[in-house]
Amino acid sequence: MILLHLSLGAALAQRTVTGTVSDDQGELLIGASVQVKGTTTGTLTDVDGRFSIQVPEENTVLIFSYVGFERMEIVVGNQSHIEVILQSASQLQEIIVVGYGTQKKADLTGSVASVDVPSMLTRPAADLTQMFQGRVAGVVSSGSNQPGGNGYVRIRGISSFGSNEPLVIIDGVQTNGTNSLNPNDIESVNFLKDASSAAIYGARGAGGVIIITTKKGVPNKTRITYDGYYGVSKVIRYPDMVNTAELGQLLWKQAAGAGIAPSSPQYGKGASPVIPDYILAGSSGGLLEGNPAVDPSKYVYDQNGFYQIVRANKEGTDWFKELTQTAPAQSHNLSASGGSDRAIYNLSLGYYSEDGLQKYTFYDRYSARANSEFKLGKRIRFGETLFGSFRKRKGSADNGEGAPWSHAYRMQAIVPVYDIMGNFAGSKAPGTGNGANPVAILYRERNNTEKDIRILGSVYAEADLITGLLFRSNYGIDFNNNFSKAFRDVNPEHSEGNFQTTYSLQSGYQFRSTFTNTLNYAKQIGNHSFNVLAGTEIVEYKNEQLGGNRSGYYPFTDESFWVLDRGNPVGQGNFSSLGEEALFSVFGRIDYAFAGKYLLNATLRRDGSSKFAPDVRYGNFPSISAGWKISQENFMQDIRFISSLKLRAGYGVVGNDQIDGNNQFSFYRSDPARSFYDITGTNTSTVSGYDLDRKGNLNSKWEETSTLNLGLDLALFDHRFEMNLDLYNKKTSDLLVQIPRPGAEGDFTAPFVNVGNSQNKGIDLMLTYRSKAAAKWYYAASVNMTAYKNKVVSSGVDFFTNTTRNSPVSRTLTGQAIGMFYGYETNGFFNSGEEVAAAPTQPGINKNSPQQAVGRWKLKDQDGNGAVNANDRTFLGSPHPKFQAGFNVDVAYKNFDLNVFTFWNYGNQIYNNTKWWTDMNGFTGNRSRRMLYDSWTPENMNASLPKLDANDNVSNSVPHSYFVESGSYFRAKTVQLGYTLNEGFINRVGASSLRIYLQGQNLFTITEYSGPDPDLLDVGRGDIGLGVDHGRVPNPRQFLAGINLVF
Amino acid sequence: MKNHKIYFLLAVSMLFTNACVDKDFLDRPPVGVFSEDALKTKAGINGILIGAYAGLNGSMYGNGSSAGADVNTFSNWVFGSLTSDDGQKGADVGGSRSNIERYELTADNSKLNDRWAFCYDGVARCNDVIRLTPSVEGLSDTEIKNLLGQARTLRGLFYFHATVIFGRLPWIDEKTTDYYQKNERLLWPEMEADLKFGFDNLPETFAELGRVNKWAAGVMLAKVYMYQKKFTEAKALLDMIISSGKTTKGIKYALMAKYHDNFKIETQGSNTDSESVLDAQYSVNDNGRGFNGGLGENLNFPHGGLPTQPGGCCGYHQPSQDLVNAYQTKDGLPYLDNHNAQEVKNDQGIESSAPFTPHTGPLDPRLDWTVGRRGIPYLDWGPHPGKAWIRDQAYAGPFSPKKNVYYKANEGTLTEGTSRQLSANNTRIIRFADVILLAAEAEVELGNLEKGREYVNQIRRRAANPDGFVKNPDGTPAANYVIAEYTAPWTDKAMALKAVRFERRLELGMEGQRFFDLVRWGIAKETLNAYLAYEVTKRANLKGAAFKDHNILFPVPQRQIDATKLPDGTVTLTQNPGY
Repeated sequence: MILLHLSLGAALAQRTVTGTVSDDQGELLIGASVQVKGTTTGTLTDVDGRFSIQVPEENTVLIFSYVGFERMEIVVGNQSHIEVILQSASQLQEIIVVGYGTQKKADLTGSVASVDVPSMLTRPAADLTQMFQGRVAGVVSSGSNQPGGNGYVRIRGISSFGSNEPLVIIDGVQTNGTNSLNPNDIESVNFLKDASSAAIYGARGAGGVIIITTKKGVPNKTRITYDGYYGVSKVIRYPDMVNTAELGQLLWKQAAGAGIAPSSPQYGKGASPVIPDYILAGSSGGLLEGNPAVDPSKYVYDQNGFYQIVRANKEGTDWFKELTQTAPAQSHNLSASGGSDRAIYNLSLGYYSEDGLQKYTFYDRYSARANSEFKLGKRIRFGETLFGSFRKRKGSADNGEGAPWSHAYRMQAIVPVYDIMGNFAGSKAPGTGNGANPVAILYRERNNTEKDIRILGSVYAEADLITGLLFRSNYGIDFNNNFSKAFRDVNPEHSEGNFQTTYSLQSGYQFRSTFTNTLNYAKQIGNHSFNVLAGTEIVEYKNEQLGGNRSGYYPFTDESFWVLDRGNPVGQGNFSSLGEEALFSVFGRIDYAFAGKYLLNATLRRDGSSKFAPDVRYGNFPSISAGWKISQENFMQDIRFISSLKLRAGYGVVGNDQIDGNNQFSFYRSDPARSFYDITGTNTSTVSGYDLDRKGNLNSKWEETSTLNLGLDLALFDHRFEMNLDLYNKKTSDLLVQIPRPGAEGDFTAPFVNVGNSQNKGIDLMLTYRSKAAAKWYYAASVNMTAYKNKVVSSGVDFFTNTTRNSPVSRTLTGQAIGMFYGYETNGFFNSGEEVAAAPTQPGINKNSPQQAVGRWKLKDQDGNGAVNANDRTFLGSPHPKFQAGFNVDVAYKNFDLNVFTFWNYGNQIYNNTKWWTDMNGFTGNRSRRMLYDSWTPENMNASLPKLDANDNVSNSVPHSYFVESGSYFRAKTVQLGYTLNEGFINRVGASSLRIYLQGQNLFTITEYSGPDPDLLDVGRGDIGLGVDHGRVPNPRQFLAGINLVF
Repeated sequence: MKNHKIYFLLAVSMLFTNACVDKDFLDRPPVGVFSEDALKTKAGINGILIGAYAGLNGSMYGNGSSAGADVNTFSNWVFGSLTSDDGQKGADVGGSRSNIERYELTADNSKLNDRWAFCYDGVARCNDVIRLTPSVEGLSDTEIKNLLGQARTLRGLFYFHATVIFGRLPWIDEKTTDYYQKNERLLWPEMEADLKFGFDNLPETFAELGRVNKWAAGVMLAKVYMYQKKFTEAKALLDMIISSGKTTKGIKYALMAKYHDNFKIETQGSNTDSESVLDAQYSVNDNGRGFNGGLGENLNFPHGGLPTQPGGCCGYHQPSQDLVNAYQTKDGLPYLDNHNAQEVKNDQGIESSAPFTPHTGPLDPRLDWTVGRRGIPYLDWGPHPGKAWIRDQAYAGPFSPKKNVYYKANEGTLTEGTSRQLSANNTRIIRFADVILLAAEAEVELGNLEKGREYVNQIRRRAANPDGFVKNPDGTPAANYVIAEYTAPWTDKAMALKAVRFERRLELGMEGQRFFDLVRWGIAKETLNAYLAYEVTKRANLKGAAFKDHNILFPVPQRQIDATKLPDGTVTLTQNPGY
């Protein structure tokens, strides 16, 4: 027996308490720590698991802890002997929520992964799904970087063209996302990754399933907690654009390259560019101080006689810095949980807010949760989960080409943010293109608002009908009511601007109900244990929207006039829509175990979906899996260092019906914009007509994904080292694709049809190592890795997607991965006229004027036939990473804890479409510094860009390899340092512990990608839009401080 | 006893869910839409025909997005005018239209795909009418002829507008079920059949003036003949049209008294509109979100964003100096041989605040209805102020387009509430002046030079009507308009042909036909390279541009070639040579 501390103080009522500490298997624990709460008094158990300790009084609380086990607190009371059974920490977590039930992790045969909720919560984000990045092997996630934006999560990669979105089940209710959830309410998140575990969700399981359960109370354990943090975010990487003087140089070099006299409405016509004092007075540009046109008395900011005067920003406006801001975020969460043996409850209130990284954007969310359960007699339980949130998003919400961030590429540096009177300046200044002042966009859209109220909840009843037979009925709803308003303000400073205004309103709701009834029978007969589940489920979904708009609010453009009635009824519009879906299912599952070491699981689900025509409406989704707990075998008992070893194998089939609910129907529409015509020549009215809206396909049926999964779970050294390895082969057949139809067929929405098969072969690997000592030092490190290889395997699949300003840039072809970048390969430059003459003809290049072609890209003649044409396009890169890995390190020393989380994404390419705007001659706008300093010249033939040439409209007119870049990156995602106080002052104010922490997010990124952020899984264009950068706000660096307080 | 309870509970619960799921539970048909069967009625089939007409005002393709609107209409300014010596892309640097203007097209150019899809959506809408008409009960023979006649005429029109751009095309008709058809031939025979059907079966008049009547079909047919150099057939038909043709309203075809009444909303379709063969009927403020207005021309207004100028954006489709020079007259007649030897004065490089006196030499009055230039009244918007209305003079010159522009008096009532760039000013797809000029051409080609001269003089006589001149506020002509008829007999066929073709350019300037005419006449390369050599002295953006033999056709959109590849990799659509 080793005594760490002796309580030598002569306490008033010191007495000795003895006892034993054992694990839940009955094994006595040696060296478990026993401590008197709030003191330094403590001891360890001896070789027989026994302890003896002096306690001061009856209210004393003893804390029992042991590495790998849950800490336990016991009030001594009048006991003198206490037998403590510690629950293995992993064991506790190992109750895993699976489809329609729970299972011991040890008995799992499928591939199910859990996210560690506390460490997940170290990533501050509005949407839960953003927090998964790098946390779970096989799960890929990313965020949107819009305030309150939706996260993006995919399980085991992209295998379908339609949607690979996982099904999200929250407390048994099918939902369409986690966005409004309060992450602090989460008890557990489990991912059903393979088909054998997801098959119980049949029709909707192909993208994997995320099962989220929210916190419930614990009987006789009242707990009040507060969690909060405050942080600030800032964009730290901006595109590298030319300044005012540099743009002048670039324009002059471009003129020289084109062999024409330089001329710019701003920089003049001289031998070298001259930066003017004023870029706009009335309609003139390029003005010098003293010009009568710039007399401020001429300034008029009104549609009658509008006359704007704008000074040149001679140093240059950094538009990206102007449009972004240091953005605060805060989160506050208060929860209370507890209960008696008759009822348990968990209540929480949450508030989250964040300012956007773009100015004048804001998001906040109020949420409340009440989960409770009541017992009626011994056999019947009722309960409910109820969550409500109110969300508000204000400001500009665009991503992509029209977004403020993208306009910053197009605004020249010479344009200041404001004119001489403090109104917005813009591209109205001649020669500055048609970019819009992004600060003006953001400011004017600051009061555009999207609000929604979401109610997500379920009521359930459970009855133990006879021993082992559990009946459960669960009715859940996901209701969302949305309201949005948007005002288009005047923008007279824009080159294509005007004084017209429009106000639009939209409102609607989505309602999804899930009604589930299950019977579950568990029985143990000798060495045989059975668990049988049978159930039915119906899901209904309805979406109704209503909206309208009016125009003509000028000059009364402020928010107090924002009602439809104030607008001009001439040109007003209105609309409504309704959509419905339904799903009916019957399912069952059998779990069988023999002697606790041979496991067998089989499920079958039959689903009927309204999205398919009656003949192909139903699908059957079976699965079977087996496990062998090798470590339970007698021959393994002597191998002490192996704590557990299990082999798993499973095969199952799941479906995907995530296509438009109208897919089977062909119909005409009656649309004033598209099918009405002024046949009588009234000039202001139309006669209604019809045109084909959609061609349906009655044969389109379930996309099916079958997965063969092999798994190995290994734990060594008292579970200090753990490994979970899954190998899978996921085959998706009857892929649902909306193939681009020949234009000759006309314009209509084409149906999704079943075209082919794809295959994802992959590995999920999770490695964890924890230190042994508990007293002072503790450390743990884990790696999880996701890798898959995607391939289209059935013959005849070949189509293009992902339209940019050029043709579609992604091609899906048999034998290749889905959505590979496709186009011409650049092969250096034409360095001389002779090279032009000798080279194959090139698209858009006039061989007869070699002086024009010299310095331009040479595109590779892949087939060597002497002409570069569409047949010479080739695969230029893959949007699929070769692997992604998350590295998590936890270190604790005394009361300090440190968490470091890094993330490595390797091996994918990005099609950087922003270069279309910034790196080559195109629309007038701003240009990158690359273009000025690394374009081809006779002296710099080893350049990255072609010769500067004002008349070069060819270099960016086809998709080619210059746009394709490495998307690999390594990022320090999170560093968090915490300090926990659980004695002294804290106890005196009635709290049991207080933890404070400081944290940094995205501290550094190592990447070769030239854009501001290579983390762009979700570009808002669906999975088929994978990997194309259309310009978006990058992930920021963030610092924050937070506290967790427990009473 | 206990077991009973259990089974009771169980049965009720399970049945409850099952009971909800009757056989209709999974039937969730869409609302607010029309099945094909529902439209197999008289009203339904007429509505589908209206849907085909809706193709005339464009922008059907792309789910109603305004992207690509400029080529999704019968305004042919992109393919027919900025490609020619009439007009330029205009505005300022760059974009997909610059490649078109400089004849540096690649098949990836999005405008090509937009145009292709637009034309074939029109064809599809017509095919729907033709396919469904036989299954509509209760239609009289006349009604059936009417429906089919209109649909087939429109189909011919859509094919025509695709043919002049892409050449060989896949033929898709009402019987087609496999849309992976090859583009092996020019579709003139099919177009002729459609238009002839329309000509033979359509009535002369309709209650609704927007419909295609017998004569419109005849004119289209004559045009199709002309494009094939079938001058004899064309002449016969044109003679009939000129002597007996009438508008849908029943007005005998004739030139309107005033040239510009063709481009004025109030006179279009009025009881004096004897010139409309087929208009794209534009309308605004009709709950169509602006998509029924003049979308195709929405970029082609003076630039500047002010209410004091029409549209306010975006300065595209600027006339060339070459076109402006072409309106110079000597003894009232044009310079047929070298119209650029002398130039019409312009305000290039001169601030609007600086003084400027417009050209004082003799000019064809049609110039100032075709081109907006400094100092000349721009409809009722006051004198064109020059540089202040031009987006970038140094880039694309000092001129503005004019025919598509609406009057200030129409602002707010005949312009869309949400966008001043959309108005009810129709695109005249074909007007009677075009017919007369085709007739003149056919006569000259057939050796009837004097008849040709008569037709040309008819055109010039109308242009010479002083009532139709652009006038200053004090009622005086805005410039020195001198125009005369060809009084000397035509004896030289080459000269006569030159005069007819020149007249066609002057009369139809900026109306989007010029490039196709040049190609049709087989003089595109020489004309356009001569034009480039001249115009490049004014416009640096044309430097290095050259028209090559293969530019007589545009490339088949790469997206269409890619989309029609067969599963075995066979290419269905063949690219035009040179691309």
